[in-house]
Amino acid sequence: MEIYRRELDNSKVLLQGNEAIARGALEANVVFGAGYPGNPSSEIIETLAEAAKSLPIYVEWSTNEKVALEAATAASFSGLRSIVTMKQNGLNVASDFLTNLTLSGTKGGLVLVTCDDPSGISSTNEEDARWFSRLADVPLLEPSTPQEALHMVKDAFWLSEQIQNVVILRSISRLSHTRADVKLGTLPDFRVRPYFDPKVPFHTFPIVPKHQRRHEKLRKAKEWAEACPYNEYFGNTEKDFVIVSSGCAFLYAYEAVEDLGLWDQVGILKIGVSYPLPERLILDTLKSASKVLFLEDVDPFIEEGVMALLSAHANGVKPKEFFGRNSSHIPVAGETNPYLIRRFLSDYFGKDLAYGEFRNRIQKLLEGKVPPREFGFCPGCPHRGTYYAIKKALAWDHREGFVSGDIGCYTMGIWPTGFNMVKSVHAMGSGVGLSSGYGKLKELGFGQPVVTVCGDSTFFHAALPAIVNAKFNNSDMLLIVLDNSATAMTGFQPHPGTGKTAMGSITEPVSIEGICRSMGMEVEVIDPYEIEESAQLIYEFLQKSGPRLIVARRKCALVQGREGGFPFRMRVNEERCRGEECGCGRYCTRVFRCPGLVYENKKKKAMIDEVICVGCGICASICPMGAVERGER
Amino acid sequence: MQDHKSAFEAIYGEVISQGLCVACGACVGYCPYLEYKDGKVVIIDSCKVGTGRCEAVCPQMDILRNGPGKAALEEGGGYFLSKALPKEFTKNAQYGGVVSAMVSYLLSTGRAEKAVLTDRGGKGSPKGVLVHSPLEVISLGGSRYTASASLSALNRLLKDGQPQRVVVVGLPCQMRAVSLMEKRSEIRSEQVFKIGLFCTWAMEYREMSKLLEKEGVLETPIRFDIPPPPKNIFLVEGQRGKWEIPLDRMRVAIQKGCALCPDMTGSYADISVGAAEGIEGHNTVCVRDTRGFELLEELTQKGILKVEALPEANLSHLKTAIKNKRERATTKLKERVSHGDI
Repeated sequence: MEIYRRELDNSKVLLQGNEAIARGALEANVVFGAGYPGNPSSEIIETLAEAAKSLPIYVEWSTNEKVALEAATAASFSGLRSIVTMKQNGLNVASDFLTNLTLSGTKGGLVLVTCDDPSGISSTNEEDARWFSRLADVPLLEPSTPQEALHMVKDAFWLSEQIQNVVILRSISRLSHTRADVKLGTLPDFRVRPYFDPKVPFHTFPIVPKHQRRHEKLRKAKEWAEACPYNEYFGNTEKDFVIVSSGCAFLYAYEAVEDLGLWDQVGILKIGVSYPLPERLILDTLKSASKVLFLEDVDPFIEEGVMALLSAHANGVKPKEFFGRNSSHIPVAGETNPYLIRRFLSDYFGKDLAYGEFRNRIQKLLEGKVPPREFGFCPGCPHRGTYYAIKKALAWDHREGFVSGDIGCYTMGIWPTGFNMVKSVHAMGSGVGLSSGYGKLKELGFGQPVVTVCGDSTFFHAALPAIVNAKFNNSDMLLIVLDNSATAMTGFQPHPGTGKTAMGSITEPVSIEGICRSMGMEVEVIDPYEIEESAQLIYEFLQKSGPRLIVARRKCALVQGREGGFPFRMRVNEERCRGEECGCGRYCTRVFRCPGLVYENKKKKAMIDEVICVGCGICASICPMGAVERGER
Repeated sequence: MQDHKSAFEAIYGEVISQGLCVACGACVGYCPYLEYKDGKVVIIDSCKVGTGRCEAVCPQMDILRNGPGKAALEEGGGYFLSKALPKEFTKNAQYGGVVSAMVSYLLSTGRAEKAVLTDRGGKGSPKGVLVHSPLEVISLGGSRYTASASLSALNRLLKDGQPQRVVVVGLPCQMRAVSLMEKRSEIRSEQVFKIGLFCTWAMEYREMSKLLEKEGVLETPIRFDIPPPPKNIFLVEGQRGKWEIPLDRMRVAIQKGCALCPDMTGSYADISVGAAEGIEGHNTVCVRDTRGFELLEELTQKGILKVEALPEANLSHLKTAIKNKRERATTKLKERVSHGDI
């Protein structure tokens, strides 16, 4: 959706949650946007970057979230409105600057958007980033719908300027990626006059008074929260059983109460400003309630805030029973979903589930009809080749070596698609840091070799300090950078090595080899499609010591597919493929597992799935009989 | 119990993971699961196939399951002293150049189309090669003192399924492995001429390399030798020097599996060749069958080999050494059985 077109002003359009956030930012006269890609947040910067091609604004993909926040803050200090976006893990990275920045305060409106991923659908954790608002003493807004998101973003900028501090807006996967009708406002003229006033410095000193001041700002925000329309009570006047909820959980709750016909027994308090909480509204709503159910994603954040508030006012409120994550009525982990809420309410009020046990019924219907699906690299993915080469090299090496993994598509190396090579994965760059440590264990008697893998984008994001650490301490570290020339997992965003910026302008690529060579590391480049040669080089590098780098370079297969495709039309020579007779135990489909290869049960031979196979040709070197052949396209 | 194991589980569980593999190469180069790298047979992935040739052709498995097997010399065989007369055969040879002479002759007369030999290594360990030119045979003379999985080269031929006349030069374990292949009818006896090399033990390549490096050998050696007792040294020759390393310092590199091997002279070969103690530039040759005799005779007639009777003292020494190795292995095997290791 070209949300930056002025013709759309005041009209109603279908927008993705993230597009609504981006449009809200534009309507709020944002002229600077920065972020680091990460599901489910990536589309906000992508949308703004597209807008930047026709509007006088600046948008960038930064090397990491901390740098993104810092870059955006420069705009704020110069009196401009800026937005910075990230996923929950990203806020961890940005948090060091955030907790300092919120002491110095800001000038132009600065809104930090965190898009959390409950259940960790495409994350390494299901962290609740809302806690950072408490840590940094800044307001936290939680929209429920794309429409509300658009309005909230605009108000967040207003609030940020009122209190001269950062405001956090928190979305989750469901909101970021849902689509709904959104009534747009109007785009401003984006006329700005950036100016940093040298008379007004920004720093954290003196610390205690600045900390004091931060709390005063928060109190001011609380006054606004009490009156703002994002917090609202829905339902009967008795207010005996009240659901307190925020974000998408509010919608699930609303729908469940409606469907189960519970409006006469249940009321819902929607919380839009989750920090600081609108205390007067909450006390007012809950003082006579006997039961309170909390529904939110992921942690009992509002739950604990409300319980603390109620205990502080215990004298004036009726004793209550609480249901939520703390009481285990809602599971402590995993995304809140409509089924959880319906099941709780129907059990509690003795109602039939409106749609029955729909999940179980669907599951039963599908049983035996749908094969189990596992995570897998795409056909033609260079990571499959690299991991296979690593697998061979480590087998040859024979010292029980293993792979220290990192964040990206190649995280899937923990599964059979990557031959279960990867034995640890945590945060961006952490695999490299870990390896800089393993590399020093040799001196303590550690005899296993470690291969550490990291992607090209991860290299720039957080691996660099760890690499320097390895060099500095002369750690025995073998790093393989899986350079597929894109931030592939989040949607091919450019990074410093690609030679292109978020706004599409050409920039000189930063060379991964160049950086490492300049540090004095031994560097070699391999082609992941040449498995034997790659395995041999990795094996040779395993025998060396000190910090060393192999760049495994091949374009992401999806990018290659768009840019002209692959050279081969693969075929299985049916005379050479001996099927079950071979003794290979269906090596190509059972071990190598490229989805382009299938075992044909009738013929009892391997074959190429021509719809899936892209023609990269790697598998030709896998078959012990040489039955998989590279033909001309 | 063994019936429930897959071939792979058996060979992995009973031989490889026990450190008993001697890297003969009989299981290498046939399937994608087993590969040879620098002295070790390694597992690339675990195989789920029920029955397999890896288990059936493994000489160590054969010893573990069926005992020591064939005696050194059955009736009708004989021991000789021999050397190659043309200079080209002795140039690179370990001792008398008899092996190079025989292989070259078999290739040049077309009695073998290919020879399975061991290359010199370089970047990594020596490994099996298929050779068809007599000149190349000469360049590959000399002992390596490591197992090199050279039978993987024979497997390459077998896998292609083309009937070939082939000569295989190998250690006693490798001769046993080829005879197991014959038993499985993978290759007919008349197709393969087996030349055995006398062997007391072989070293594991990586361990040997590490030791040599420690001893200051920083290049790929050209020649190794263990001169007859009582010298007790390991002789290493390279481009840049000669090293005499006390043999006892090298012993840690001996393959653990060699202790199970009862066979010093390659009892399963047609003809076997080794050193002739104290007689420089000569080989001891052990002939076991008609084919062996015929070849020896022919080469003598052509003036390629000089053959004479093995001196009594040498024969008696050799017989003691053969007996000792067999006894040591039999004891070791019994120990394993009583420990319940197999």
